Amino acid sequence: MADAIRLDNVRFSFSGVPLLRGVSFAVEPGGMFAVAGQSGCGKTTLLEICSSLRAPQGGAVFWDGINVGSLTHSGLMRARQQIGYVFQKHALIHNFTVFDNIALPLRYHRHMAEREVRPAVHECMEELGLFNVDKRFPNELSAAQSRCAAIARAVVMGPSLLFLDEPTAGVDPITAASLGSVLRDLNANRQITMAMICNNVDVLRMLSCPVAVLDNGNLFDYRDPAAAVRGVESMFTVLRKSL
Amino acid sequence: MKRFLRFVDSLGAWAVSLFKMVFDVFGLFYDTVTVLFAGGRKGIASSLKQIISQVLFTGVEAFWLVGIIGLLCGITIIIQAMTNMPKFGVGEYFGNILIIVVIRELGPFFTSLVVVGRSGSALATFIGNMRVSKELSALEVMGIDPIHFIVMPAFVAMVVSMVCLSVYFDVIAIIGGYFIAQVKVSIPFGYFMGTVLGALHPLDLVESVFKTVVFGAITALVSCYHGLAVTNTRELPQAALKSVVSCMIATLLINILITMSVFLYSL
Repeated sequence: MADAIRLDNVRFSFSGVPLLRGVSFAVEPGGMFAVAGQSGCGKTTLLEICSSLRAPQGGAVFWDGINVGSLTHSGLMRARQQIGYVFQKHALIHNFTVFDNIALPLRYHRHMAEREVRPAVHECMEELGLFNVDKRFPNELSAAQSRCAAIARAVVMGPSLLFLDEPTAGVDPITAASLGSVLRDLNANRQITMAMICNNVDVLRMLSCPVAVLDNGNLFDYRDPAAAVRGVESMFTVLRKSL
Repeated sequence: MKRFLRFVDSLGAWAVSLFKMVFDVFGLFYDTVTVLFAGGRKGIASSLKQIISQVLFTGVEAFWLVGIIGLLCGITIIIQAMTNMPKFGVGEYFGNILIIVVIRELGPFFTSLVVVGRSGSALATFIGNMRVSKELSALEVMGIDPIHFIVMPAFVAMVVSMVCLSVYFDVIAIIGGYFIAQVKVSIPFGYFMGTVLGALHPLDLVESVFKTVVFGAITALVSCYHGLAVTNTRELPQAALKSVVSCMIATLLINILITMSVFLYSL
């Protein structure tokens, strides 16, 4: 069975500075994978390459064994309906209500009637603990609610792959833990393959998934979850000492 | 010599960026029209909601402003025509003057100015803001084409709104202007309307509608282009500014081109 996502020797430079020097990893279907690293080391670029938002300058990205770079524009647009992406700053459409944001992919791709859209959106919102925020606009939500709304929009189509860019950044430890449990439940209940950027050691410990550390353009892969968390902890300890 | 070379260099850079902008706007036009006429649900039907909300903002909410400008223009033109033309012995041609000035020129042009200043700048800022906050990337990663979701509805809505606003401007300027001008000049309404309608030629209407369609399309495409070109928050006010300036220059140039073409055609 093909890996849900696989990166082969991906390279990317920004203004002549190499950000990714031949990064490779794979995530099996239904698995979870997290990348940690310092700010500016290229984590978001790596996730954008994984999700086809950015084209790699070398190497290849595969979704379920299909080379994303070989897809035509329309083929890529179709393939993207099978993935979800949660941006660090939620990126909810600011003039749409929460309900309309979550309903957007259903209305656009599936052309569902309004009577079918409503229960599908509400079910998704309930699963993510979003209550009584249907008619609110993104600027009226708390940080945690915005994250949950963004996750709801990403999973409402039932994707097989979910990319998350620091889903717990900028929230308090309790909210971070609750978001972590939301992600764990989504992974367990829906069998969604997840690739995420996460620097929160507590959340990584809770998810107990393989973690890789991106440093100086190279990915240091820890397959054992416990070792991974220890690796990330030691990285932050070294970082704290150096500061 | 160095200063001259630097001047030539900057002139060349400006010309290249201008050429690139024109080329990109034509590219955007091609993409928009392709999406617009795409068959099935991917076409115009699936974007009706966005088109209606854009028409509400660009058209309906601008009615009062276009109405006031139309009324003021109408009063001025009618009073000037009614009082000065008889002095030159061409009083019977005031209908022709009104048609040429209001329907052919001022209607499309003033409507375009209002739409450019009000909606064009807002559209550029709106799209630029979406770019900065990664909302456009979010659409792309969901498999939603931003051209289909944002540019095409804005394009259709601006063209429709511009045509409606221009017709509204003409009606307000001629009929509203007539009633207000009664304070200064007295002329029977039947005679006034008969003269104006008698001077109206189908080509005048075609020219007016054609201009508004072109102005609407240019405003939408240029505003979207400047909005999509934004890369960071600092560029947002510049995008609005560039959008207004580019639209105004393009509108003026194309207005002259269309007027000259119609003049040559009617010779």
